[in-house]
Amino acid sequence: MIKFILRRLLLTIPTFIALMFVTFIAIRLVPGDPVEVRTGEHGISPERLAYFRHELGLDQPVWKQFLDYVWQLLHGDFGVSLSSNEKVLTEFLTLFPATLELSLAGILFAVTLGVPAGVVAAVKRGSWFDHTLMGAAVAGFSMPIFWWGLLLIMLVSEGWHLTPVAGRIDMIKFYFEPTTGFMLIDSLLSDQKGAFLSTLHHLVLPMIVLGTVPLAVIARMTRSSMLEVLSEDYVRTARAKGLSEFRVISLHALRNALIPVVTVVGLQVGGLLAGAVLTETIFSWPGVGKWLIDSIGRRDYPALQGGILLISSLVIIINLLVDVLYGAINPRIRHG
Amino acid sequence: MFNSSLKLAASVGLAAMLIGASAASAKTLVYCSEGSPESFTPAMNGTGTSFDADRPVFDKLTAFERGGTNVGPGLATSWDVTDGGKTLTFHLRKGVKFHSGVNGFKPTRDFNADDVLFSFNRQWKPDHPYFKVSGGKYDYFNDMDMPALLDTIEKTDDYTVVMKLKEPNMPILANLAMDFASIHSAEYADFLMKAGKPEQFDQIPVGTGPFIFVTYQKDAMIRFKKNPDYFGEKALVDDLVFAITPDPTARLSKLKAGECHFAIAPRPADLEEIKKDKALSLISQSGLNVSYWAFNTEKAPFDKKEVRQAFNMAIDHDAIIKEVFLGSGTSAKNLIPPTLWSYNDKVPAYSFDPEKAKAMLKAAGVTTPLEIDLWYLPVQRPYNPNGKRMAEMMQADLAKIGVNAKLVTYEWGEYRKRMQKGEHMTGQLGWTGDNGDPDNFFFLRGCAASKGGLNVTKWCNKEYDDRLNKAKSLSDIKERTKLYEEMQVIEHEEAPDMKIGHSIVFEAMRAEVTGYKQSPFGSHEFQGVDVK
Amino acid sequence: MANPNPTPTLAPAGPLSAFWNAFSQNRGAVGGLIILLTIIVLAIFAEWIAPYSAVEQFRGMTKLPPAWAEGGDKHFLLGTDALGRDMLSRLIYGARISLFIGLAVMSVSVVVGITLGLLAAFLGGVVDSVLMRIMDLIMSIPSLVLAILVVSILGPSLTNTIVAVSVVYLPNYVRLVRGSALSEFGKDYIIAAKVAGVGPIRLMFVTVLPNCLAPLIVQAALGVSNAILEAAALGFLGLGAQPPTPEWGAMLADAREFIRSNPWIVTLPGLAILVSVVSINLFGDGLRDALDPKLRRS
Repeated sequence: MIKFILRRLLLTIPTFIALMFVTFIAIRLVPGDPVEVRTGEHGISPERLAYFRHELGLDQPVWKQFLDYVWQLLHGDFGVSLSSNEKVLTEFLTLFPATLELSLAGILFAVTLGVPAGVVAAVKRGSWFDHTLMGAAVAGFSMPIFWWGLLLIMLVSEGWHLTPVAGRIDMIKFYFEPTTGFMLIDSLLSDQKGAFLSTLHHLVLPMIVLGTVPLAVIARMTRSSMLEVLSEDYVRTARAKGLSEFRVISLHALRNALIPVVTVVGLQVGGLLAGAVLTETIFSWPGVGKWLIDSIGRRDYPALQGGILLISSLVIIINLLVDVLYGAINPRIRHG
Repeated sequence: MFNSSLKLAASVGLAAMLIGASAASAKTLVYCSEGSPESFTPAMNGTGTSFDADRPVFDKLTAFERGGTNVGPGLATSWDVTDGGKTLTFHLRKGVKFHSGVNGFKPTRDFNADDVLFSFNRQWKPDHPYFKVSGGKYDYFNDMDMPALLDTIEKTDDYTVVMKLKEPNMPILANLAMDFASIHSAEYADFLMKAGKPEQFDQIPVGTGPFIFVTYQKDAMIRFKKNPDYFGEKALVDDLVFAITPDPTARLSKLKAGECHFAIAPRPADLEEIKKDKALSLISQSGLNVSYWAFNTEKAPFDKKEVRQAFNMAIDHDAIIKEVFLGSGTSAKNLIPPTLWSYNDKVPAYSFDPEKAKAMLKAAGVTTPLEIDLWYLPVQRPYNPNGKRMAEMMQADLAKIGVNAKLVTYEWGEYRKRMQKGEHMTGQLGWTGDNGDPDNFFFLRGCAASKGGLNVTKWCNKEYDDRLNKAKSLSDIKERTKLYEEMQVIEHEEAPDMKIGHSIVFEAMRAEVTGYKQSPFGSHEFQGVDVK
Repeated sequence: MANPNPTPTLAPAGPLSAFWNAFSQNRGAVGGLIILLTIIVLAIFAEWIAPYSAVEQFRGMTKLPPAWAEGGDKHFLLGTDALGRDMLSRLIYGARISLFIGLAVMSVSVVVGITLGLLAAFLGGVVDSVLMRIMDLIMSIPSLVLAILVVSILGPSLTNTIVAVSVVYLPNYVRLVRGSALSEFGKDYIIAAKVAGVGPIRLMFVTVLPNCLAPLIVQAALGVSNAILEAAALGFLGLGAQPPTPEWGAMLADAREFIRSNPWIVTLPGLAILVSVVSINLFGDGLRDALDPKLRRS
């Protein structure tokens, strides 16, 4: 097992180095300049432009800039954001919990609804529930979520006044210093009455928007995987033994049916981060997705570079974890 | 499943009621702002959003009266002008305290001349210990030509500062009321330098202003509390919160839901809805800006006056104001907005007349179909809410006189640079006034600015330029006005550009907000504002 | 290929009719196909079907609601946009653009994907490792961020949208082709072909490729819908097709400010995206089930 993990880790190293290099070059190929992009109609004099480019090291050849950057990274330094002068790592760590909270909520929403729905649909194959669910699932994973978000805001927030439209908590009523960055936890720690519920209330709609696509995928996956398992011999044996249908499904079938679902959940992580970019944009959610997009607009090289590196490492690690997990529940593929 | 979600909904509702009943006794004003500030040192910032976020903390030597352009006393209670306008002596206010307890800093002395020297020298002297801290971008100090204007700044005693200029310049008193000239605490700077974290100086601000900085969470919120010892107009609320909400739809929804009291920049499309809502109020003021469509007079056929005039007649101006500005702008016929002195209202506007435009093009020897390029703004600017939509309308109008306009755009920095080089045939641009002087607008068509500079029409007219230069040297407002009025006539006739519009700035707030005054500079200030 | 003389034959059903039998049993898939064909017809014959041009501006008639709603105009069935352009016409012309993007992305990624995938499988060794690491790299960057980065470098336009989205989806195809080619390798017919002296190019494209086609076709069908979604997202962020192109995502983004005052301008393009993507996905599902029942799980 450990050998398997180590081998996989080693394999990610070249990917990671290439990733560093490619993003470094790519970011510098984006037209525009971090110094000029922030100036207004006045523009900036060539002398001052040259001065700042020199100060930022942008007048150096790209290969030298890259080596300097790698050297910095080896010392654990992700550099300083050009737009805010904050350390990139600090900035990322401030914003990341918001994205993580939203993503985890989205996945949780998708799993808690998707798995039972998929199971029921499989057990009652061909019923109206099955048909409705599968129809809804196709719509779900075909959903342009930026539109879905706007639509839900229009209906749920504006039309029915059920949820707030933006932000993570009602700032008029509640205030506490972030300790973990996860608003749900912080609001509980804060001891302020209603703060937790306000946070939850703000989280509901973005969670649904972000969770829609994974929900559809997971429901479909669970259903088809369940169908397959239900036709296997051991399930028939279990039934023949006279076990109740509920026990057959929950104890024997579900456990095996969930193996491919785990993979799918893992594979959703990358897509989830892309979805987070759009969800954060629509709901003014202070997370890393929006920050990355803004950084492209500001030509904030260090922020962009650091942000992509950190997020991509995360994706790589999660994919690795999924593989390991998959190997753990399904020993056959471990050496495959 | 359904059961539990129902329960959840019910408990959320119940909690909402409970919260409503136990509304906190401390008064909080929540301002839904547009974005995160670049830093908390105004001198390093360039956007209104950033200045708004810094302003509660700071004061300047002079100050614009709240909601106006008149310059009055700030941290300087008075000043003397001597030496033919080349020497300014500022008498500083006594007993002013810097905020205490922010970032572990407790001031041991009152505000004095050292703080003034520190604040300007930091931006001015490259050998100043703080000059390079946080990147050292002092755009406004340079944009306002301060290095060229200033000769020396010295203190004669703790409460007197003498500023010597290289040439007489009265508008500098207005410059000193601008945000870049905010006064920082020199003692706080030393404190941080000793602690080895000078960069915090620009992240955790200490000033003398009406509000004290409490906390900032990037892209989420900024929190201030009232400064009870403030020397000027005091804050009326206990807490001031900037809820950072970039999406205008979300801002309006939060405003309507009572999650914020005040929202910046409502969408023109939503103005009707805000007007109808009794819980909200809407105020407006014309902005100090202009948007125009520049013709590159160095490129055929725009080297011909008649062609430029014809293009002025080809565009349906009113439709643009209506559909692009959506009521948040007025049609422009001069380079300066009507609120600025010397505005010449006798200048007629070009009327929309495609037939005549066609005939004029023909008379000028232009064969149609004519292919041109039309550069449109890649970003929203204060004077142009939607360059893209505007360009689409212009394109449709031009097609009717046989002109095929190709829409072109670049990244904003690139766009400006290429236009200054004169790569475009025609293109949208505009200007926002800095200090309320007409010269700050008219220089845009001067010959000096036409050589690779901000005059993107590349038009250089001796009649106009002589008057421009003469007006700058005069101190008599009447004489200047006369020259500026003549220049507007010349410019109308020569038509190096098509004037598009001046924006109207709207502010939306809840009806219970009182005491807010709209600033002609588009800035937002919250001392003297209360929530009933 | 319609037979001019339809005579009943006793010959066993060919693969096409077998496929059609399986496909037509899936009601959802047939429904999807019908909608998809309608959209294709609209896209191809937009000039004749659309009541107006996609760019003609009716200045006095901006932001009209649909004809049946209060204040609607019977000349503009689905109302008009912020510049007074007929929504229905723009949506119809938009179908052309979205389908074009979807097909273009799919073709580019299929062609490049097959080539790279087969190369990796056949050459193995260093080429394989390098190619697969590159694919890992592309997949480790969140798709939308990568697409935005590519468009930012190349500049926003329809072509560059296609390039960006193709890059994002390329790894799926490369991995799929490589995987199925590798799994074919051990089989007898390949060994036989090799023994018979079939050249490598022929072996790659003529012998191995047809046997990997089924999953590829399914992936390609779903790839079209993914590409449409991704391109619309780029358009929504203002990085896609440029004005006055009636691309659905860009239409939605342009109209976003009217979400409160004139919600239908925002609703309709999104609905168009949803309907076309759903129809392609339904069709793709049917295709998958009919082509290869084994694939049902993927």
